[in-house]
Amino acid sequence: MEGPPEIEKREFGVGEYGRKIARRHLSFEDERKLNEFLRTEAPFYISYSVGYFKFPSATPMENKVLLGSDLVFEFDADEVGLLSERDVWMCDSCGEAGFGYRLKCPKCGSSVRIEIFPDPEREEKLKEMVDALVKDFLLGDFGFGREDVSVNFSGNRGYHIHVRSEAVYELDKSARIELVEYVTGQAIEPQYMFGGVVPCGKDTPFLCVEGPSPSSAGWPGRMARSVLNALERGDRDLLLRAGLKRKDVDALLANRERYTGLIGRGRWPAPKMFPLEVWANIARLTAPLSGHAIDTQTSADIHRLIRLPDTIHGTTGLVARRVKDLSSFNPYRDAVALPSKEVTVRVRIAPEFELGKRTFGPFRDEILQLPLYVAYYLIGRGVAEWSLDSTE
Amino acid sequence: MEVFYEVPFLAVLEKRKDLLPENPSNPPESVLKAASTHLRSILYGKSRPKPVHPSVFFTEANLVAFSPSSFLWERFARHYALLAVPAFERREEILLRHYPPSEVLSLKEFLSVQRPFPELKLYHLEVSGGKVYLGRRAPLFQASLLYRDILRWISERVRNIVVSGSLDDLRETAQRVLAPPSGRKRGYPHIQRLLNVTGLPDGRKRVLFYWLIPYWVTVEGKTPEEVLELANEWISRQGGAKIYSSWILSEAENVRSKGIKPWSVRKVEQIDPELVKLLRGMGAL
Repeated sequence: MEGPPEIEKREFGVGEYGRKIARRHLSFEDERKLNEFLRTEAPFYISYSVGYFKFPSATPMENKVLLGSDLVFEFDADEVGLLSERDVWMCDSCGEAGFGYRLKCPKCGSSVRIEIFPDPEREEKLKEMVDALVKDFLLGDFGFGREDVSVNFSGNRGYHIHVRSEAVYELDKSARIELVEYVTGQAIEPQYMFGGVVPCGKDTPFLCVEGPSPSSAGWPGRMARSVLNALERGDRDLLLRAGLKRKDVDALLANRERYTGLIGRGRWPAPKMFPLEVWANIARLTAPLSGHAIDTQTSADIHRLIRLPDTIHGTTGLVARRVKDLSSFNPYRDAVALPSKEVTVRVRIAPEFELGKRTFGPFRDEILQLPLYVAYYLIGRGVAEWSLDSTE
Repeated sequence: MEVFYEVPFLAVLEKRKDLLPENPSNPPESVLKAASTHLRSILYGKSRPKPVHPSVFFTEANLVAFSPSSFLWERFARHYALLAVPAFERREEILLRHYPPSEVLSLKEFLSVQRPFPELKLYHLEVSGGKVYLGRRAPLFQASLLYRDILRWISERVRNIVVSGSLDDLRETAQRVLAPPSGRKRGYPHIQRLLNVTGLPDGRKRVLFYWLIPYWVTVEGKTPEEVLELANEWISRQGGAKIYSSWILSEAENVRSKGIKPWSVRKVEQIDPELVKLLRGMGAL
């Protein structure tokens, strides 16, 4: 298999069942050595460092001498807030389980663990987010080349987006956090996007605030476009959620044409009428990657170990595939690696789900014959176990 | 040296825009004169316009720099700075390095130089195709870079002073530390009389505390040891008193580290009217 670029400068870590990194500080001179290692040891998980080190196998960390680091964005389906009715909650205290999303067990009140299952709708939304990150931000705003950006399925619940470019190589932690904050857009401060007071038009006594127009680049333009969009659609709910009072929303929508015309020219109503914060709120609420869509910790951590592409993820049995065409990629079809030989498992609970072009479930307390890749997936999720009774 | 957080002569220049040549690097004498006159009135006079943009203004043969709202004014300011401040050894380096002619930076460059101005985030600016367009925020950003160097410059020259914080802090610190004490120009006639007084029956320690030690240290720049010598000599003229040398030394050190100036008579009168009455009675105030 293909190793990461500049393999000799990378640190590797391997894991065993139930433990993603059991041994780290490994390094390989070249791909041949890496492949030899994989053949002989066949670890459950293998990860490599996003950082480049002078001495990748040295310990402790400071002796490795960090030379630079890739920039990585991580999307996890559950962390981006995409919940599904197909998810399963399980209480490890009392053994109760059910479908959907719950924080506490309804029977004993303990915290429950959530196991996510393939859901085509969620998968599409996740891909839209990855697409927005790559096209709008990485290629659009940040100006990276297509060859600098690679998208990998994580093998479990999401995607990893790697940026390998000289421009990010030496960025420190705070600069990386800034990039994540930029793409999530949650810290927009509108006062920095607006200028002074200007006449609203040629023959009008009214005064406006000079601000971004829809053609402005970056977040200022994004904000102008989302506000115009909200006005054109007459999205009363969004305007109210952004913090406008009911009567102000009525006034805004009653004069919709006038305001869209003004904002289209970069002239915004005076803050006395509509606080600037409202416009920022609209941009925040409609941001393509809002909230905690991206794990800041992963992006900021220049020493992080991340799944090696094209290796099997020990939890799911799926391959952490490199994604060439995101629109046609379906991880639950294209990343299946284990054989379809049937094995017997005892399934505690599972929703209806699609894996490897076939549909399974729903199951509840059943002993079944399932293809190995499905059985492994369910066992890895902690909702099934091997059945010793092979006659069932 | 005085420091101002101001755009001093911009208003005048804006009014006389028609006089400004197409090439701002070569302004006519009349414009420079108008600007200088207004500048002088601000520096030595009364009115100070409200700040439009965070800017830094150094005078007394040092650095002149501000952040006007348009590129033209910035160029003019730079030229004026170079004309007006031949004595400032690092002016070229600071001004030209931190006032890049372009208002576009690469993403990497922006992230690497952004630290001195953490308020300015990437998402406040127009970012496209790997370029950060500073736009109307440019003067603010560039002024902040300049500000960082000025802070360092002050820190290197003034011992025991940690300069940090906003431009307002810079102004306050610089005014407090670098500006000559205003009393030096006016003099301290009452302190001269106090120095010459003899036979003071009471309040010797308080006179030292309120006026003499601050005067010797802050105004005359004496060291604590010299202050001790002067104080002992002054005390002996009063007929002696039990004042510990350690107190005088520690007080002198305290005054030096905090830059305390001699108290005004009015202020002492508010908290210690007895002493002022006694001194007035002796003709020492």
